[in-house]
Amino acid sequence: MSTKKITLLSSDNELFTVDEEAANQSLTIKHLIEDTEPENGVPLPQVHSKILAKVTEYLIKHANEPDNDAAAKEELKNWDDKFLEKVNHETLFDLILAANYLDIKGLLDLTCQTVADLMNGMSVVEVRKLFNIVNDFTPEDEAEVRKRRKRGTKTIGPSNDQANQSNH
Amino acid sequence: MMNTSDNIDEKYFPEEIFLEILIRLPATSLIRFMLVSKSWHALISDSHFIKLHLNKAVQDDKFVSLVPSDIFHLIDPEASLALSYPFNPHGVDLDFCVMGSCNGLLLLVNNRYLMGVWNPTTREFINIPSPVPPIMHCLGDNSPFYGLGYDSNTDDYKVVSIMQDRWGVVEAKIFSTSSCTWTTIKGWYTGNAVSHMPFFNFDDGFDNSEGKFVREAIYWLGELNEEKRALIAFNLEREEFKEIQLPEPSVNRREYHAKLKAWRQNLCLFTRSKSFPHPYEIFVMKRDSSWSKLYSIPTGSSLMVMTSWKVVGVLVTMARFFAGRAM
Repeated sequence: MSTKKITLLSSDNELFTVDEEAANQSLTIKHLIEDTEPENGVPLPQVHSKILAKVTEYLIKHANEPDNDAAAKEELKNWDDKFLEKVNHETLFDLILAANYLDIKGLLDLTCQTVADLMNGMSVVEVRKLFNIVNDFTPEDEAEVRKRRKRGTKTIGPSNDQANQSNH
Repeated sequence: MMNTSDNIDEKYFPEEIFLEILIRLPATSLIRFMLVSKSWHALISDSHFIKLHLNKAVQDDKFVSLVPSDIFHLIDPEASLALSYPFNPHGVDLDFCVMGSCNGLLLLVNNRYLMGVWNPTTREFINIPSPVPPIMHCLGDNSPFYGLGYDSNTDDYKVVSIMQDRWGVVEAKIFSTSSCTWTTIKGWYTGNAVSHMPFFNFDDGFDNSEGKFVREAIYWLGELNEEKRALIAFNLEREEFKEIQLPEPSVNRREYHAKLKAWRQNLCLFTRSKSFPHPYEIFVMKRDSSWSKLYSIPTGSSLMVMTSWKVVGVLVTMARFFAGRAM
């Protein structure tokens, strides 16, 4: 096995070195290496060193994913939970953008699931605040959406008198 | 592609990332979040998104079970939540039963042949016109058989009904939710208009007339004559019936109860011997329609525990029925 080293260059010109096997989890990096064979590190102008440090930490930990070892899988899952435990929302969102740009499926799954879990207990107002979304519904629109949701029963197809009766 | 990006705040995310996050949310949350903004409303109602969300839920097996309680309620054991059937709230005895389930939707039918498809998550319900003309309301002795399935090739949910009239004529019909019509299935496999109802009820009765949907077909247990039991498969794309051989339980070959169950995209057959101590066997059907035995359990009590339906939060699966209709 070769343990070729790959150097990654962040947007603020910091260098990170990882094993090729770890780096290849990012399809973007993998293709950049194949296509351009960069000598002075793979340039990643969209990723700041603060985020790239987290990303490389993830890549190194996940370089050898266990196949059938339940205990090792469990350990890795616990590591994943800890990895995002103290991360603030802004960093979490930046990690999602980095995982998307670098095409790292595992990291994208993990970070998106974390945001989904976060949102699950939230109200509509809290979600708007989380993503800075402006409510563009008029009160009338909003009432209409709520009303439609309550109504429920609908009839399709040719009229079915008996069924209709049973619904009123 | 979805046409939603206008108002989503791009300060954080492009739409593709919102999509990655939203497909991971349960349907109940998504229904709530439709009120976040117009663009989210459009994204969550979009049929492409609904399909992605469903596929993810199926893939991750994120279904919750519903078990029947009394005739007007189903219970979600995980949330201990009772859901009333979406019918007459005044409690007239309409006697609805679940007669099929597919992708989190339930087919409900009552003893007067009223039927509809219900999405317990969105609480949407659509009536389906009765397959039985009023004049035919006195049917033969056997309970009709039903099933609900999804034809992915035409993106169509289909209801199948198989009945026998009092003269013993068996008729199989299929309802397409995209064309809203019933059609009679040609080439019904007996090839014989006047025949015995090819199906039989095992001892626990009505339950086996509910077809089980797995991948591309609906399955029922049947009895072709006194000697021969078989699995009846109806392929939803080709709209054809096929007979599949059942496995032989190792003890009491003839004397057993049986039940079908759809489990994680597989069809399982539970058998229970009629004689004490009622050994169980559980088989799973492979892709080539052969069977492999999963378990033998030396003693068993009842097969009743297996009546439950997998219900996922399918968002608005029903909304597709209404596109361009009575919205």
